[in-house]
Amino acid sequence: MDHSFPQKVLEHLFSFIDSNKDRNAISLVSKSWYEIERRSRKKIFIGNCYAVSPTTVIKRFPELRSITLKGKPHFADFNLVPDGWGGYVYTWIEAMAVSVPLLEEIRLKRMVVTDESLELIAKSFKNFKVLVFISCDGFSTDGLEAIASNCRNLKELNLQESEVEDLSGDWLCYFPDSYTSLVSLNISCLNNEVNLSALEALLGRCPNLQTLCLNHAVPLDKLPSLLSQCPQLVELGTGVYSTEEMHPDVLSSLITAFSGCKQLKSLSGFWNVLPSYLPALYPICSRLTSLNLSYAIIQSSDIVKLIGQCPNLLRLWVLDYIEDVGLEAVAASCKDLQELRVFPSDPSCLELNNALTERGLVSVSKGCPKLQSVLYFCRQMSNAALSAIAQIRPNLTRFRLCILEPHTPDYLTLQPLDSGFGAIVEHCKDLQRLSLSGLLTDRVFEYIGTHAKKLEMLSVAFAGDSDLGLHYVLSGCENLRKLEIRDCPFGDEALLANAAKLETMRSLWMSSCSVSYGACKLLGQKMPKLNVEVIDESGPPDSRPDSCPVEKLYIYRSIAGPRLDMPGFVWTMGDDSSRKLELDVAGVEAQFRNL
Amino acid sequence: MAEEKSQASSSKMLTLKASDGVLFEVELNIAKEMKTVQAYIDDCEDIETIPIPNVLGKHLAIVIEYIKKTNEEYDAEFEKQWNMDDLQLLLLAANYLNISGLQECLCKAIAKRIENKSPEYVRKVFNIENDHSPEEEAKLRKEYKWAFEGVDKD
Repeated sequence: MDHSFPQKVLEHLFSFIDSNKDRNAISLVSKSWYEIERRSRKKIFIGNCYAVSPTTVIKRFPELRSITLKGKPHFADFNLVPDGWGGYVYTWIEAMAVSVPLLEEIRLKRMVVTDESLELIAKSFKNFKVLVFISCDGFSTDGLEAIASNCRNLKELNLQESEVEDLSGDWLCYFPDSYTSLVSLNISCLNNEVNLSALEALLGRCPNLQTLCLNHAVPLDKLPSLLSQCPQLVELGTGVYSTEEMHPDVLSSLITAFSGCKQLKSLSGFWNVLPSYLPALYPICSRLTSLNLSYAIIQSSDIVKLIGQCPNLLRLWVLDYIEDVGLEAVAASCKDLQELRVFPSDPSCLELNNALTERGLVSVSKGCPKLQSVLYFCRQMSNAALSAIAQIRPNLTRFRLCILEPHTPDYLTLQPLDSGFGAIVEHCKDLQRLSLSGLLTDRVFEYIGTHAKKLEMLSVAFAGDSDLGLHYVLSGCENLRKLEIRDCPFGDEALLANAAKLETMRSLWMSSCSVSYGACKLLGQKMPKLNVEVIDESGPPDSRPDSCPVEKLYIYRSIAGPRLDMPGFVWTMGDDSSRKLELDVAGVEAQFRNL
Repeated sequence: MAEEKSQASSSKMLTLKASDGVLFEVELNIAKEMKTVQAYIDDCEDIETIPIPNVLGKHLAIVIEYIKKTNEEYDAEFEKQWNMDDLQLLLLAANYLNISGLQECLCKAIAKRIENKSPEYVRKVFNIENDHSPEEEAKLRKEYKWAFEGVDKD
């Protein structure tokens, strides 16, 4: 029976369809559904800002209200992407300023924002509500002044882990007295003091504030008065959590302040912890679901006392000061734990840390039945431990192990860690994200290619023996979307043999491997719809023989063609560059003839 | 009998006539929830029987029941009794009769049933013919994958 739905009814129906995946599906149903859907889609996620042009996005989805853009490759977090590489958001803002004046939300990750971009946002979008910059850079507090002055409906300002040129703490004063709509403020990345009285006044007049993440420059003795302005907080990032000397009256004000925050569920901050102030948290520990102590330099015994009172933790981020004994306490107390991240306190130190070993991770795996997501930095690991973890916790979906010293073998058997990671991919059938480390041969990639069928993202460093390793992954991992590789002996063969696979992935990063310039050119020619970008700071790769390996290679699929904003150390391989090469060669030949 | 009399004295009754001729006697305040019916009442004060040409008796009965019983609990369970075909016809009815609460309830229910489904499935349950050419469809599928894929979970 044909139920021809009027357009209005379909629009109303589509307004309840939220996920991009479902929206993509319904737009394929028919031409009229496609038109109705695209004209009503409000939220767009662009996983690679160079995969599509701003014009295409805006033309396709004219009623856009919320855009998420990701820029630099993930390895930028480890300083592997040189400054100036790209990821500029300005062209996107410029295009949207003209055509999408009702834009409300911009969320960016690893993109370069400028003060000009911020000024343009501030003056172009009258109903602007959400600004989230995760690991971004390129702007200063001057840009924030523009946002504060003009965005009357701003709900969220989140600068998580961004690098901001902190020129003045007075930008907060630019929020007018009439501004009351703040729901979430994260300024934890700022280096300097913000104007505290302006902050306090702001907090006091924003009754819907739920998230407040301060920076380390906010002194602890100011925290109680700030909190008294917003006792309804759900998420708090403290400033520095110590004073030069312990003051009992600071402690008692803290206790009063925290006790007043009846909705508080998530804590972070804790730069410089003075343990005598930790008891102020005890009244709220039982409600905590998320605790981020990854900046906190505190001893294991103090962490244990705190965590012992947090039975409802779902997420724990902590430094390796927690030690195995601390993780045993987590395993005993935090039965609902879903995510554990243990960061290195001193990554450059090469000495073995006997206090934080594989045993800590095994304890948590054994004790926490809901554990799904692990990021673990350590200095030793064994196949036995990995195998145990895999068998006890087959529900892991994210497993990132970072053994700090490259090529570290199983410390018990001195064997590679192939079988340990093999067990992980074999047992954890829903594994979506995996980071490898330690001594690994091609064998581990064979296991991964065979078993890791749901794997979407793989990070590899200092692993493998030959091209076979890369070949196993590219030919076996059906759902692979992102692959990032550094310092592995992978070369031309596997890459060229699996060229078609690259069109099924978002991106491939390879640095300090053995891929030759000639192979890059060939790949660029063979796969015109991929952007094959060679990054080489030592000079133009065509000034060296084709057989020379390139420094870095970033390959991604795109419907926008080669990008136009490349710096001098990035070259796109493909028809254009080979034509350029032919012209250059002809030019050189001509010069020879003239000699 | 006594019940009906007291109803008659407390509020006016109205007759709705479904497309298949089935008649429904409803209280005025129930009928008023259907904005289309309300418009009839506003325009013709003395009207007693209102024709509802687009809605079958079966579905009009369900709509009336919904209006009488709607609350959070009822709404949550409401859609579970009906198959996709009925849900769609009910949505068309709710749209024609202009009952916003019911429209919302039905839209949510239908949206949920097509969550995570393929375009082929959606075409089938809505009985829609695919008029994209194979090339057009391939191009769209590629663009979605390459440019507009789903979110990254962290």
